[in-house]
Amino acid sequence: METIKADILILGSGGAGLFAALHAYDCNPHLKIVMATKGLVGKGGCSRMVQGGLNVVLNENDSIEKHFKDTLKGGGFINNQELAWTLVTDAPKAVHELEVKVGCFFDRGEDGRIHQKAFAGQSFDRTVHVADLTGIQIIGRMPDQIFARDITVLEETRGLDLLTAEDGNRVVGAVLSNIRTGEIFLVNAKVTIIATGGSASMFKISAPSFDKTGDGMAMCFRAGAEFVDMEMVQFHPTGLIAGKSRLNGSLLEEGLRGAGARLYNGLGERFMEKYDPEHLERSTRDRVARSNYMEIMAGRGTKNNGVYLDASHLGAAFVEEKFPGMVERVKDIGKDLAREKVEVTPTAHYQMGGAIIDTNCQSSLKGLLVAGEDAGGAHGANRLGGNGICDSTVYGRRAGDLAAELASQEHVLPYDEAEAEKIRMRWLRPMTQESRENIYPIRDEIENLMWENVGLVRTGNKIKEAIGRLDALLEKAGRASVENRFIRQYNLEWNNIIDVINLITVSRMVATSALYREESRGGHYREDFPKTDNSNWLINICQKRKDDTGIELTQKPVVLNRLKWEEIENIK
Amino acid sequence: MSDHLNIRLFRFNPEIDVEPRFEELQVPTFENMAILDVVMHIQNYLDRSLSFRFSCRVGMCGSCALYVNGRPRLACRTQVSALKTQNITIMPLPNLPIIRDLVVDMEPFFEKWKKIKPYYVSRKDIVDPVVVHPDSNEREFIDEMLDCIACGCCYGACSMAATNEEFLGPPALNRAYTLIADKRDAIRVERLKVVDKSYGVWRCHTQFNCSEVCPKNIVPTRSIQNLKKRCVLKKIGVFK
Amino acid sequence: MNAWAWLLQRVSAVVLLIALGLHIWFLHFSSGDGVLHFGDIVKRLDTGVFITLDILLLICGLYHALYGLYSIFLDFTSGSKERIVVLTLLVMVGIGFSGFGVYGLLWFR
Repeated sequence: METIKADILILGSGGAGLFAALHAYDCNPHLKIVMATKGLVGKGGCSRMVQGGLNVVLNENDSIEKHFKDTLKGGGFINNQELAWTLVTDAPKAVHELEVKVGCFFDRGEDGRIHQKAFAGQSFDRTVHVADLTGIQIIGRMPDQIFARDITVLEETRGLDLLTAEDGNRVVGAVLSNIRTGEIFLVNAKVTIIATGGSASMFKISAPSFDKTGDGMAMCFRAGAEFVDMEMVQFHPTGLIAGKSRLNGSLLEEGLRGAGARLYNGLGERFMEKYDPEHLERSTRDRVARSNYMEIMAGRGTKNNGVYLDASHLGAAFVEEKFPGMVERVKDIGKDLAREKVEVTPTAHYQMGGAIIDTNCQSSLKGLLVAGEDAGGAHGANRLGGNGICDSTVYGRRAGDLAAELASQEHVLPYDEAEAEKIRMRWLRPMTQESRENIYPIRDEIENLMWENVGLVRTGNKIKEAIGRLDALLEKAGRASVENRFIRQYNLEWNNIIDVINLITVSRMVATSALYREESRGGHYREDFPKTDNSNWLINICQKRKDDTGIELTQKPVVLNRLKWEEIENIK
Repeated sequence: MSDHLNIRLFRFNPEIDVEPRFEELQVPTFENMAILDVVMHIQNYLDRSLSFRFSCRVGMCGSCALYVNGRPRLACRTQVSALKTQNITIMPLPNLPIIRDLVVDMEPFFEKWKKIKPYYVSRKDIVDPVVVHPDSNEREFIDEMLDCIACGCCYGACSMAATNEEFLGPPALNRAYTLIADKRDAIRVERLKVVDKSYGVWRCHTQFNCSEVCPKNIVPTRSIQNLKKRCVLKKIGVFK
Repeated sequence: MNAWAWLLQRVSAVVLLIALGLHIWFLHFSSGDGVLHFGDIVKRLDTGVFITLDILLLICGLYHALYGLYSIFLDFTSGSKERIVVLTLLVMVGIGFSGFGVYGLLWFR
């Protein structure tokens, strides 16, 4: 197998991966940094798709403490407080770096300073943005900075599995596959950074790009890394309804609700008055999404099983000026966002849960750093809109810094050739075995299963049923084979088989954790335990692999070191 | 809308095939169907060996540009109904080497992109985000041009890029404009020297092909003309 | 050089527009009976204004056309050797025809 030796291997080229590469290089330009990305550089993943923007404290009337409290309150108080605190304190630095070093230019207010718009669940208007398509500006410029540096970029190259040493306690690189040629090779590295994003695409209706299939999380799981609060999946309340089209579930950004757009059910009632009379549509994503879902389930939805998002009363000129990207997106399905109400549905969007990390992205395995959506803890049970790209940039920077430091100190440890070969053979199986098991029906089944059984409203029985089915599907997907086994170059089917196996791996973690948490909090709602139970469930659920595919669960009380129990009680 | 589409699909595996061929397929239609839905349907249910590139599916990543009915378009943003015909020919983006089927190698595109020094270099004296009033002309039309998603549609449409492989092409030049016009940048003059070459801005004959196909409604020609103007201004010592 | 060449192309275009207009007007529409007499032309070409106008027209026309040709040539090539050969050739053609034209115009004086 072809082997590349490197100091740092980065998987993923979204906000976290790009920032990690940038920082690692700037800390020590002599390091050999290899960045592998499943798509084209900067084009894959969701940082590029960010609409709203970044929450950051810039105004003197705002404060880090306020942002911190908002983040914790939004997150149902089970956030890792150190991670949340680091997030809010580093966010201004990230925005500063984006403007001054990377060259982004965020929208300006009347006073000529960076403009901050209103988002839901926040005590201050603090979302920095570029109109309603902020990600294009950020991720449009970051790769150019990578091009200016001596960083090896491997495009259309995906990670298959991590290589371990020291009895599985250290990661020493990864086995990768070049999608264009179908070649499998390995990178032997001192430090490996996983920044490949989550896997909300496990649900029937979802918002992320389709190439996000939890590859990083699945690899970390198989390597034995620890995870936290995997049951916490965010559903965004306003996904566009577009029938069978791939546009279905794509987002209409939160800024619309921030600016005053309203939600109505099929009967024309402004139903948020019932669920959250204080904040109405500007309530947090978990609440609004669930309210939408409840209305639809109660038969008060629209004819396409949605609710209406109405921005027309804000004035057509205003909507067209402030939300040009959204107006255009809605136009693709023949509707006019500025002048009429549009049907929306909750859509799977983000995973709050992920690999356990410390504030410098160090995971539970030596030599393995995790940044961005693959990592868990900072957002607790629900992420605030605008804290997502914040997370990627803040923790990408930190991962890069730590990786450079570690790489300067350590040596490349040898990998186990037998392990590498085993990994290669495993992922070549769809190309060699002739089972005629088709992967696409399996994928469709997972999407439906997760949506119905482990979606916005969950019950113990349904989750149990899903877990059983997922185990069977994992086994079935393992048998799947590629129809045309002679084409290795750019073979989508082969890659989709790997995708689906990864999706099931992460889905099992989500379902297992969801069954364990017998209460409702943030993105996790149990119909059989509908109340939030602070006296028993202010805990984090941790899990890691046991034996081959088994899952071992442990629980840990949330560390309330910054915001104390008494304060939480007062906020409630 | 008719209940099915007649698709002529370009197939080519440079490793095996002597020459490209066209596959004829019938694909059932549904509401809001985009070209991306068409190729996905084909790959998922009719011919699993088809390859194409995509990622975000909402027109933000610029991965899925294809040549559909004689014109470069983003597959995800091209509604089948907008083509106003049942007969659709799908081919890879022109002016770029083919990896397989509908997937092109974007390497030449990004090689040229890199030539114009696409990275922002901050002026030493700027330590904080600058104060720019929205009604000042400071930003010219930089921000709208920054909406580029590097999908390559313009590159595929440009007849100059087609006839001359050294021409930098509309996307790289457009990116160059956004940096050269940005007063915060430290290497504007250096960058202007790169585009002020025969195979830089001067090969553009203002045909507007690029602008016509841009899915983001950017007008690269405008950026290029602006760069030409700046080249002249530099010669007479006005642009420093 | 590119920038100057491009600027000159624009300038020559403007000059051509005006000079060509004047040229056509005086050649075809200015004499009352619509018939052009050799004597009138000789007389006209004896004045400094018309000589300047025609020389301008000649040089701008040649420049505009030859630069256009060179542009088309550049569109399809990339080798610097051929470029120098073609450029030299075109410059010689330009200078040659300019000289020939100016000589012809001045002959009338």
